[in-house]
Amino acid sequence: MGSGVVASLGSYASPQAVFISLAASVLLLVLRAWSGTNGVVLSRLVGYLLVVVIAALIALFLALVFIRFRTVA
Amino acid sequence: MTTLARRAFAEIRTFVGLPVWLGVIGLGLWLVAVEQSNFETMGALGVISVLNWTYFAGLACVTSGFAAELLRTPLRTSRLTLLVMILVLYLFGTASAVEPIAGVPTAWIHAGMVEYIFQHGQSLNNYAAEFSWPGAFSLAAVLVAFVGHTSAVIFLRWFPLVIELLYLPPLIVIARFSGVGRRAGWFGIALCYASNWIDQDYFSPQALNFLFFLVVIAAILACWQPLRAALPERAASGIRRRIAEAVATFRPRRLAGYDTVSSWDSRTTLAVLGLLGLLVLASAVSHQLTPYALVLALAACLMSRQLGRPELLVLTALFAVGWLSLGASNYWIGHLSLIFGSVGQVGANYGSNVTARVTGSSSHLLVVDVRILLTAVIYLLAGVGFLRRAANSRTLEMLVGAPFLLVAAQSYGGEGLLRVVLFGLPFASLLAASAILPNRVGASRPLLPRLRLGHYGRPPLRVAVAVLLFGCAIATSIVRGGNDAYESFSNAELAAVNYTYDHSHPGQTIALVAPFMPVAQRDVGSVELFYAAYDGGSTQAQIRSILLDSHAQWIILSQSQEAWGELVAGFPKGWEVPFESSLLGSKYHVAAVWPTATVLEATKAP
Repeated sequence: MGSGVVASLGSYASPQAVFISLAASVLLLVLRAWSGTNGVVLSRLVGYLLVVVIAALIALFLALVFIRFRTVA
Repeated sequence: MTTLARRAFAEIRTFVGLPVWLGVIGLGLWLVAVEQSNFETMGALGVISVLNWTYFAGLACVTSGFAAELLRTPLRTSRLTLLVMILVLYLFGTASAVEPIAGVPTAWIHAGMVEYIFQHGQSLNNYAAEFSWPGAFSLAAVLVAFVGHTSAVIFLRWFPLVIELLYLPPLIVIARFSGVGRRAGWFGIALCYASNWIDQDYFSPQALNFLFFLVVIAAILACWQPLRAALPERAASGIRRRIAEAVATFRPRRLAGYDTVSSWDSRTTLAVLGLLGLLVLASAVSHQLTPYALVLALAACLMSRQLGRPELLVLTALFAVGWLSLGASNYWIGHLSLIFGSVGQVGANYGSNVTARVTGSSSHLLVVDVRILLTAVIYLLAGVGFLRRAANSRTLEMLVGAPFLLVAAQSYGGEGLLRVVLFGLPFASLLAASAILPNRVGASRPLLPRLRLGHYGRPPLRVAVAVLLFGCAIATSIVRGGNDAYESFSNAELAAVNYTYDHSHPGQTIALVAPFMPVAQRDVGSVELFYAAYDGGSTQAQIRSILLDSHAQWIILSQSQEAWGELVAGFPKGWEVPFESSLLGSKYHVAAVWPTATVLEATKAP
């Protein structure tokens, strides 16, 4: 990723954005752990959807952290 | 002896048994050894140089008592617990009992950070890396307030013994559920203590976080067991089966946690998961390295079918990275290379962790060599244990190997390999114990054939256990306190430090030759500290020049720094006297003198 692109993305990687993506990921992970441990039967579609959303949020979180490292440091 | 007394003695002997008597005798001999020790005569080998024969005789009693109890039928866990606790007292309580004040300068620095949080309610930016992970210091500040003091110095002296005893319950659980036999489990616990020379149990966040680490792993091993049906059946036996097992480690089904079964009900499992989530969050905000070691350990558990919920692993990683990005930004802003500069430089990282430490005087080199040898023996035995034991899962082997990835990513200031050994030691010790007392029942059969002792039975095992445990305990006693010649302090040295703080003003600087004094436990952020040398690479002339250029108002010279110069920097014996003379004159004068410390004050304000 070019430094110019990273710099322009820097404004999006605020601490608040990083925290919100982290909190959302944690909440959905807790939901998945709770449903899995409690034996709540999710349909295959909902199960996959949950995993995909969690993966997307984690990817967003890591991307924001990376941009923050590159721009703030 | 009267008949009544003889009968009472016989009854007590029957109840307690010979092994416990040996432990009690060992305890008595430890008290004698500590009572007769003289801190002022400490030599280059540290604490061991002030202990007489009673220490070694007592340690022999405790280890032989443990070996006798370990191979007794039935196994009595309460007696083994007692004997392990006496062993812990020997290995981790002796320095605290012998030395007049707490050793290890970093512990005093941490006490200063706790005092700062206690007084200001927050950490100080840009003071030290540890202060960007203030969780453990905040907890200590709460404890300081709880006990009605204003400083954490009261916790320092006996902290190593207390925290090592706190490690015992999770270690017992890990041994119980790790898949080794009960006897190998207890022997592994004793070996773990007997070979723990790493000295990371002083008052510090890493000591507390190692407890968190053990508790998390213990809870996971107790909660989930590998599902037997998950083993691939298409490869019937031999090498094909082992290859199929290895390949199965990375199957999506296993990484989703479906290859495990929990013996706990869902409510208990959820409650434990919630508590573990809080624990990993606490770890993420209180130490730089432990959360990442935990991530690797959880991955090892997941791949070896001992973790049923992958969410815990992901949560730990998210908390660790989240805090690094948000909470510890003061640490990495401006010097990101400290974190990522050594990523992937495996050879350089391992080199900086080993070769940089093998320097100094002959006695210091002896200590370093024995440390390496002791670690090598444990890992070699762990390898033999891997070959000799049968198991339902290879969790222990993976937990031993996982921490090595840490050093591949980070040298951790040259201390990474120490931490790798520390994080792997509880599991390596259990494998090492399996070399002598292997489990013969499990889905994965042993790679080495059974060693038949014939009619000799247990006595040779008893001797092997006693000799190995005693050897490791003696080696650890020597090398654990191997830095004590310069990392332990007299009351006079503390008095000199307090005198300097009492007479210094905000903004002034206190300079030391090397960071081996009980400093920084007060006035954090107000009085500056300056160290002329960190390692043994500088000459006396260079150190003198650096000290004078620092324009410090105060310079403290002391016995511990003199010992550092002799043992690590290679300076001649008694080097500090001419060094002090060279500083005196127009720039400095003697402000106060104690038998083991001298405070110099700048003649005119710099």
